[in-house]
Amino acid sequence: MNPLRKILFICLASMLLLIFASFVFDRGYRNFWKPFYDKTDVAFLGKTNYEVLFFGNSTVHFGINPYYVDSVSKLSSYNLGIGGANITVMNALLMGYLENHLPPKIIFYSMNYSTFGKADNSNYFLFFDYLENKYAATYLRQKKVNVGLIKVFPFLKWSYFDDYNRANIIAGFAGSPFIKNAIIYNGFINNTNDSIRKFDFNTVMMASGSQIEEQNVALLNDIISTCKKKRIKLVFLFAPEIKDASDFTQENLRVDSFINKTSIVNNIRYKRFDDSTFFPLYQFHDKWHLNKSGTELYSIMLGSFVNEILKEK
Amino acid sequence: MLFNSIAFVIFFPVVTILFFLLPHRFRWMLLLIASCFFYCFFIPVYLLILFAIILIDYTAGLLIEKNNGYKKIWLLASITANLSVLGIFKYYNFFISNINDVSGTHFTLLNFILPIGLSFHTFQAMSYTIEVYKGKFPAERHLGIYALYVMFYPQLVAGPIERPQHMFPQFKKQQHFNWQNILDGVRLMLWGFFKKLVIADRISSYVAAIFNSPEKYAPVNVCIGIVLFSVQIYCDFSGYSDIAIGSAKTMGFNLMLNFNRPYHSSNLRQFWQRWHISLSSWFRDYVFIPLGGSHKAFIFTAINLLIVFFLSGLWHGAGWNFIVWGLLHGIGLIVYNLISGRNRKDNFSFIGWFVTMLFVFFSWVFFRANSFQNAMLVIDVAKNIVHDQTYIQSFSYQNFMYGNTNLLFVSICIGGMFLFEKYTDPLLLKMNKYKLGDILFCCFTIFLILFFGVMSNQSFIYFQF
Repeated sequence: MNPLRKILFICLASMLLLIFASFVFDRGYRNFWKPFYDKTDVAFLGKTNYEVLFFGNSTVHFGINPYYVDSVSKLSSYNLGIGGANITVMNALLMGYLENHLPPKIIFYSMNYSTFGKADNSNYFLFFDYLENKYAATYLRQKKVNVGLIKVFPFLKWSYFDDYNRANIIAGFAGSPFIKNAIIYNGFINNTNDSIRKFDFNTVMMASGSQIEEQNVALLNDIISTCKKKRIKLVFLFAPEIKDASDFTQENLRVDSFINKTSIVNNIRYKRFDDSTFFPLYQFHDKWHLNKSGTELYSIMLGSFVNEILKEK
Repeated sequence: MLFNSIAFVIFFPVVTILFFLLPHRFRWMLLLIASCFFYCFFIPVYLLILFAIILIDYTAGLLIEKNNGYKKIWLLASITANLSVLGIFKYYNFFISNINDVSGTHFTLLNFILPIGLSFHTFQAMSYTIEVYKGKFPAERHLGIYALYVMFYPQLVAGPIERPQHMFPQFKKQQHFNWQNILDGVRLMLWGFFKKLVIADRISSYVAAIFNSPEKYAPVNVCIGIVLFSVQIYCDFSGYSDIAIGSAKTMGFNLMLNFNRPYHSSNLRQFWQRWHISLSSWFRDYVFIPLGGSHKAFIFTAINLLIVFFLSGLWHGAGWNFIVWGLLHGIGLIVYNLISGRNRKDNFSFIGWFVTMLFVFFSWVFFRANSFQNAMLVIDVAKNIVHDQTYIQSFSYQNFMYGNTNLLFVSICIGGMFLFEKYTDPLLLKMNKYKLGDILFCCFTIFLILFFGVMSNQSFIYFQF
């Protein structure tokens, strides 16, 4: 065969193979992370408008059930918390949501020691499907992703994946998703032993990346001004946790003091649940996450809190 | 510039296209400028060292050819200049810190970063003056062409270490655009990228964890780490050589073969005929043979081998672990020569292969270790594998993950690579015989690189030498 013809065949066949494989991989990966994709779909593509939104890390993702919030407040709420998220992810989701939705009435920002740290332990690979949204694209650029290149050749996104996430594609096809037998409602996923690693009381976490980073403070200020502009009520939360078991007492104190100051300066409500006597030990799944009954109670409390806020002038 | 970077993905086609667009008389200029640009991605100021070496050896070459009476002096001057550069940047701190340790003195250490690929281009430059001295090659009059010989970007930072008689005629001959060269070159580059990005870089995090703190791991982990490093260094370095040879091939240049399936060798002698061929042959031609080679009594051959492998170890790095690695291979070859006598067979033998690999893998411990003490610690942990009852630590049996490395996937890739290399030739030219097979091979390699490559711009191991 003429070498030129061979090269052309190779180019054409490679392109077809890459596009087809990418399509197939997408199916498997989406199957595996379906409850997470449902959430990012709502933020970046969805058309349904919600009145209350929750942002934060796993303490929100697995800890606030909008079903109970809605039952008490008679509003429609959605849980946009993502496990491992720091404020960069929270902001990308919120700004992405505001791009194509009506502004909600209330936004809850749940924060703790990890919110303002460098470490973002969420699954950023989910964001590759929303490059048209400028906030998702900006977030990926911060992760050193060449967004322009992936817009032209979408299959190149797989080159950024790690082996764990590549293995998820196969698991997704094998009908073994990230979370089995979970209760899923408006972004909430209940705690099962599959859904999150169980941090027992003896597990000691390294407190790395838990400083308050300047650029993350700037992100919080962006959110505050955006909410003011769009007349959205912003509320800061500190999620329930077992105080004595926390490995981040110092970090939490630092973050608490920072949120407190910010809330006073900007006249924003700040509600702490970590020092609440409402959550005894038996209502925790592990030292940072509530269990089923803890989640129900916390969500009902938040529903009442929503009513309280709406009554304010 | 790293081969595995976006910059190179743009640089390579641009340079290749410009090369063929330009008239022949300007091409050396393009390649020289491109090579400088390629090198500037590391530490630009070190270009001055390269220019100095080029000027010294260019002048030395002309003087050696001209002055019959003093040609030895000019050769020595050139070699001394080259070795001095190497000595200052690479060996000074090693010798001084050893002197300080032994004598309790406090001589100041230099705070330099080793120029990338210094050992490669000084050796290539030295081979030029030696060949001119031997009268096997006329001194080059054209400074630009000579500079290109030292700086040609595909082999600038990690070889193959070329010879003047092989490269100069190619630079002077007009290269014509040829689709067959493009196909052969790009195919080989793809194979190199596969070895580097899909295998070597995937393994590297596992290997680094083991060698950084072997005491934290079970013996079985450490043994897997040693085997994986043996694969990593092969895939990393031969991958680099494949990309270098392939990228030169697209412009019509043939670089010398650097690897010829070394892990299929049945004995140590065969291994060294197949591993880093350009360096092995350099030491053979310019050190071993001038010392007397193997034509004298056995004891002299043995001493010559030890000298060569001592120098080879030292060439790789200024550290006792590299010297021990080199000497181990020297001793290994002496023992092999003793056992095999004159009855040396190169047929494949499973036992021979097994013993050779065991020895080669063991010796890599010294090569990879951060220090001689670290190497001993790795061996200390690994040797307990016989009594060890533990399973692989931190290994998820459910999805074959170890940290961020999928060991099942890596194993399949490694097995596939060795099998493929067993049935093809080192430059993959046999693939031209197949139509569909060749197309499928290229497509599948592209797919593996883009979907399973580790795109973290990890440097090549041999850049440090």
